[in-house]
Amino acid sequence: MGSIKDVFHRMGSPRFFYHGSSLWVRGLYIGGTLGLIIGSFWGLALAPPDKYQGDSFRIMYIHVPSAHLAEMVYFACAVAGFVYVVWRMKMADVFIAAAAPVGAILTLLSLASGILWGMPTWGTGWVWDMRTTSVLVLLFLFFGLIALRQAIPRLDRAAYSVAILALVGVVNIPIIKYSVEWFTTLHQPASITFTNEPTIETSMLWPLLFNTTGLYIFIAGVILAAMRVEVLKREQATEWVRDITRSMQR
Amino acid sequence: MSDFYTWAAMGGHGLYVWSVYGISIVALVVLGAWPLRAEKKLLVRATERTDLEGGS
Amino acid sequence: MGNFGVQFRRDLLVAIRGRTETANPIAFFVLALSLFVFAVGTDSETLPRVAPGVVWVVALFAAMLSTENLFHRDHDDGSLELMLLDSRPLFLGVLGKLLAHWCVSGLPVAILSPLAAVFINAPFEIITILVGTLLLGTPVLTLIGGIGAALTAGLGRGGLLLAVLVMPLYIPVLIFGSGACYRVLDGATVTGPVLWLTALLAGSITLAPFAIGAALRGSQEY
Repeated sequence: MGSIKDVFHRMGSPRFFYHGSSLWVRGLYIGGTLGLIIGSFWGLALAPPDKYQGDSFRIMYIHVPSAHLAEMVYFACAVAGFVYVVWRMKMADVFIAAAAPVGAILTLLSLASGILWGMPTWGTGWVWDMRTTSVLVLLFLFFGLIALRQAIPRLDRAAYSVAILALVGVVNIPIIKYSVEWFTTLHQPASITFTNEPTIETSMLWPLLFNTTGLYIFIAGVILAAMRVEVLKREQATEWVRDITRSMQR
Repeated sequence: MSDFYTWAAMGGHGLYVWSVYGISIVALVVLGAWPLRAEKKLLVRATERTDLEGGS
Repeated sequence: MGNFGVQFRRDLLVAIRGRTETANPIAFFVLALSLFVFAVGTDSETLPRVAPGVVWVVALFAAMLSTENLFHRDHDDGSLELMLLDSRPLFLGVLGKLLAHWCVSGLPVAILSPLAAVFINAPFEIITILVGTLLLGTPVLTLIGGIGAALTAGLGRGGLLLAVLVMPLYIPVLIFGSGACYRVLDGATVTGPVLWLTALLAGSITLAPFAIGAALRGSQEY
């Protein structure tokens, strides 16, 4: 007992997951919020202003972590999709169902902060550069995952189809990225250059590290909490959910 | 106090910086609160249903 | 190879006998092009400049809209289930179906594209590269569209859902396809984008049939 296989089986059990995760959600929420508060305060108040961009670079402490997290959430969805396709593990699908909307909101957040960062530094809100465009594509990929699930009434078929779509998407991400890069070198207007990006000082890097870690932890908590909702929704009729509601009645 | 105002102005970029942080606070709070509320709602509804079924 | 030939011949025959349905992508292609001209105007400066991009976008839409019913009829009359039950490798059958579909959707569009290019005043020097990139690119569109069609098979509401699923994956094909045309206009070499299109074709021929097969199995399982 206690082998990896045992843990794997337990993780696959919605009941075990539900009972085991409630403390985790609280801990991750608190830890993530702490990290974000420290990182943001440091970034807003203590870090020195940037030589080229002045104070607008402080948007980076939101923009970079959210873009990074959005991408990681998609990769995690693809890994979960692989797990579902190969082992038909229910919890893997619960993960995708819970994580896709969270990822979409993170992508929107990174796009919004990118636009608000671009307005003072580039002079325009939107530039078709590689990173902006691939984040936009990522948003569409998340929309695809959400839309396909909503279109398929049967839970098990929806799970399988969404898992395949996540896998197809993740194979395409590097290709899309490369093609967009090729596209932007062809069409880049000369007024905007990204070549002279100043190297970041370490004093500017610390807040970024805190915010990224904080957001990782916080989003892990959010996805975990959303997975609990998804589990409850799917297992409403089972005995263990009834046990919970019975204990609530008392 | 003037120190605080010069800091809040963010060298003229205050509007952008603060709106980004404002948006992200709203987004993260909504993200964090939404599953907790949904869970509570589901459990309450399930309790009501068992009330109707069981009666005892 | 049996499965491949059977599916290819059958689908081609069905397509040829149902003439109006087969003519639809071509009609759409020409109609949508003229809509673009009405919207942009016949300015002799702008029209030649936007022409390659417009032809590519319209060809892409034609490919996407026609993949929608790639598996619908087979799903409804049960022949899809028979293909899945067949003991011969599924991906060959899928490939046969897709090739037949491309022959009546992508291929005619590629063949008609010189005419379309003249129609919207595209410069003459891009015609060869336009046909070439369409010949390389439309099979990729059909293969990727097939994944979307398989995922939505039997849902009864393809349309916009299929577009949302498939369009992000079409981006590389569009970029390299129309990019090659613009490179010719600018007098640059086109080896890069053409090689990329070929790589995309090779990659999607090897991978997409397996994804489509898996998606089709998922659509039938329950």
